[in-house]
Amino acid sequence: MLSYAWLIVWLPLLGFAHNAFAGFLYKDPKAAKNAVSFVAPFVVFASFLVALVLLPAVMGAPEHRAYAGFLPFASPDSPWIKFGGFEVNFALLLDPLSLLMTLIVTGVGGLIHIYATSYMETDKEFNRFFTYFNLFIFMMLLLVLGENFLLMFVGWEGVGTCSYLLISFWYTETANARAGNKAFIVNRVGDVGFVLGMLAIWSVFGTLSFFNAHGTGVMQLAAQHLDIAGNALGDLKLWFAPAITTICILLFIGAAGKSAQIPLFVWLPDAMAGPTPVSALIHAATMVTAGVVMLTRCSWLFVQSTTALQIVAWIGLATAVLGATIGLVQNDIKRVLAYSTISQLGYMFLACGIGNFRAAMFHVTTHAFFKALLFLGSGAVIHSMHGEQDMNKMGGLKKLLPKTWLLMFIGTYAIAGIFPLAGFWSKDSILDSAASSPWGSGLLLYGIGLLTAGMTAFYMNRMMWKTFYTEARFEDGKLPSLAHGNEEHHDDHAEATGKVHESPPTMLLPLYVLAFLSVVGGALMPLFFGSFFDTTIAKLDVGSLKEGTSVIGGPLVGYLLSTIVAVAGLAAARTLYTQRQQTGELLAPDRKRVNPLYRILAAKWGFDTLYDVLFIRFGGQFATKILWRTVDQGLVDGTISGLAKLVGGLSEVGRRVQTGYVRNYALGMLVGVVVIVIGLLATWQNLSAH
Amino acid sequence: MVPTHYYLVLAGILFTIGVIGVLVKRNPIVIFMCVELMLNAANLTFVALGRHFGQTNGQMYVVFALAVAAAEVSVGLGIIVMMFRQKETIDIDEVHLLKY
Amino acid sequence: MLAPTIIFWILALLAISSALMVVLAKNPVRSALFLVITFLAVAMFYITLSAQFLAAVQIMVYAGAIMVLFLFVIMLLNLSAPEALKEKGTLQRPVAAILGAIFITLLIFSQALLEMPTKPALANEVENLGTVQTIGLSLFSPKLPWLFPFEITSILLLVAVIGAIILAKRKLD
Repeated sequence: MLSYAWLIVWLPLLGFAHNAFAGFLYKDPKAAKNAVSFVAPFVVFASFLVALVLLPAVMGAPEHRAYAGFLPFASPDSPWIKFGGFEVNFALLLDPLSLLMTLIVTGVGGLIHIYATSYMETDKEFNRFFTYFNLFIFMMLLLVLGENFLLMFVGWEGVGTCSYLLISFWYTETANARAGNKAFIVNRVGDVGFVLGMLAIWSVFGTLSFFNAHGTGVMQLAAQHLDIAGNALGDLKLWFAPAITTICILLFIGAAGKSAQIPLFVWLPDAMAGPTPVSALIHAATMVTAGVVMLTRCSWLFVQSTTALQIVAWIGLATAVLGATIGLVQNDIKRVLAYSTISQLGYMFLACGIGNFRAAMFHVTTHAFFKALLFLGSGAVIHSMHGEQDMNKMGGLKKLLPKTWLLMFIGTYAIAGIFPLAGFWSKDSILDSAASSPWGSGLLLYGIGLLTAGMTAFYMNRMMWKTFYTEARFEDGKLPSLAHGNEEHHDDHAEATGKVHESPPTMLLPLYVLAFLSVVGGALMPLFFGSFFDTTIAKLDVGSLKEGTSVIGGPLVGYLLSTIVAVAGLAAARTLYTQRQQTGELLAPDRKRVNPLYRILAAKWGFDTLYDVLFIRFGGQFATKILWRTVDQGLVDGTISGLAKLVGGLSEVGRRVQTGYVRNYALGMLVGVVVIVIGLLATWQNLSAH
Repeated sequence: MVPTHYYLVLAGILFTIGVIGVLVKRNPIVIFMCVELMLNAANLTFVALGRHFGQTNGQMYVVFALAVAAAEVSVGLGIIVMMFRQKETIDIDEVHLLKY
Repeated sequence: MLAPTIIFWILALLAISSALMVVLAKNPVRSALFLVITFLAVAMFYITLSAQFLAAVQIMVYAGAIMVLFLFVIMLLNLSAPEALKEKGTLQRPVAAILGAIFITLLIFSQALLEMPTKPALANEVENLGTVQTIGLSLFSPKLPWLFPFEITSILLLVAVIGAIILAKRKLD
């Protein structure tokens, strides 16, 4: 049974190949498109089924952990790289964490695929889109299922590449291409940390596998303080602790790049330049959570280093605050959701930093549900509005798009954390564990987290109000069509009238499923906090780190407080924005220019400006003036051409020997003769010492 | 009997005078004459050493050297005549086509 | 002092001074004539060295044929004018002088240091070393290697004659 595990990964890969060559395989372009729109979601759901079927087998395996080969029908020991002491295998690790992520990726991903077949219907490059989409699923599955850091890294880089390909899908617009570049490059900056972390791990532990049938995986060794040769690492207490901390920090840098934490979050808002299904899949449900998954995978390492945990938690919290504050002033419906994603990712990292990786994974799951729902819903809104994304030009859509409204409503209340929707349970478990932080500062963490939850509720409801409530700030029937790139033809009736219309059922059906999951997702809570994840997520029981006591007195108090805050946020947004029927804006334009708080938030706390000045301007000048002119042209080229010039110069001098006068040549011969005679006399054996 | 190395030193002096003459004079014919002087110094060395060792070898070398020198002079002077025809001047410094 | 030594010194003086005059004379004809004197001195040396045949041949070939040839060419090229051309500004003369001095010092120095390996032969033993008979026997003896070069020399002379004719010819029409 387990020998078929490779299907999980290979089915999307085959889908990728099929979609890529659909133009060749099918003569009729329409047939090709139909085939692609069937195959693409099909392979994803097929992977979902395989994973589901394998779940009992995995739970029955010892330690809930099974290994399978990555190549079809190969054994998990099939070697990939093997030289010196460095061994990495083509293997897949099937355990609760990887299967959970597989189900999320393929389940939610499959739903998004179905949605996308309708959303991207009119796009000329339909096949290319699903080629990339399936490739992304393959890479993401490789990331979560890889048995070792290196395979995970392949998937890591792969999803980064697919993210780039998909963000700049409509590459004919320069802004889209730039957004793709930004995402990829910022990601790569984080990857430096990842690679260095891998190297550090190998040098300390001697292996890159997470877990191993022989008990010699990194996590297993870390738990016992051994290295792969069985030497005790803890004895050398002087270096083990700093080594682990360093490893964790390096890995965290990698995670920060992928999961948009400070200071590497700047790519995510720009990534909204891609089609909405891309934003939903990659930048909400799956890729951005890869960092959290990686941290959870390495939980055995992180629990050994309080310093690393604190760094993760504080940066996570700061990111949560940052995302929420910037989201308060965004007018593009997708940007609001992008910053919301940044904020929620911050919460997940906060949970990791507290040591409660289960809460983080729980939030990953529920976030996948409601964030995908929100993104796809916003996609439906945009589709209905013929490409309009500015909320200031919307309004009053509740009457026109009732189904879309309902779905977005559910999503908003889920993310705001209203009982009994899924977001309530997951967010509260994070806040509750923040209050019981094992390394102190519980009150501060909880307080700021609670405040941010209030802001979350506020800006989400702000979004709802500006979009669906208030009066319409556009003329129905006269909507200009904001084509985004490659649309070949539009729905005739809608285009002719420019009217707002509800989205087709293919688009709405996945949303219903996601809405359902957002409502009942809380029921998964016992799964996360039960024994399901016991063998795969570390417990806090190292040294002085133990579960702390809650500074607020217990989870019930937390539930109460968070509900109050969420309701207050929702109500505040409703009140403020009901009063702004005409413009939809809280501040008048002239006030906006002056208000310092607004300007800071609108400038995204200055990060983009800082990076622009530091790396693009200053870095560019540095690269041009110093590195290029001085070092490359001056030093390197100068040395080479200097050598050439030296030879030339010497030759210039040397050629003067050729005077052309025979007498000079004869003189030269005489010089030679004299030298030889001197040499002979100096070495002649028969010379007597007269 | 005069010690042999007297002759050798004398030959050396003659040789050096010939060398300096080759280097300093500008008339090719005179240069050639100095070359003959050098040859004679060498011949003298041969004969002196031949007598020192009591062999005829030294003198035999000289016989052949003499023949060769004669042949060489005729050819060399032919070249000089040709050179004069080309350039209308006998100054060896005028022949510097290989100058850089 | 023995007579041979006196003769040697006189002849040496003669040879060196005439050689110097070859180099120092401005007129090439005078150089040629001084060279003839040098050859005569060298011939005298040959006699003192028991190379009687060679002395005669030296005078016949060198002084008699080669120098005549030289003088013919000098007259042919009609160079009576001394070299009035300015010496180009080179280091040629000083360097040549210095090197020449070094060279002669070396030669003398080496003579002073070298030990001749065997005792010189006695005077009466080598009296006949260079007579016509001895030279002839050495030249034509099958045991000695001088016959072959002797024959080849004739070809050499032939080649030289041909070469000289070709070189001195005017252009072929």
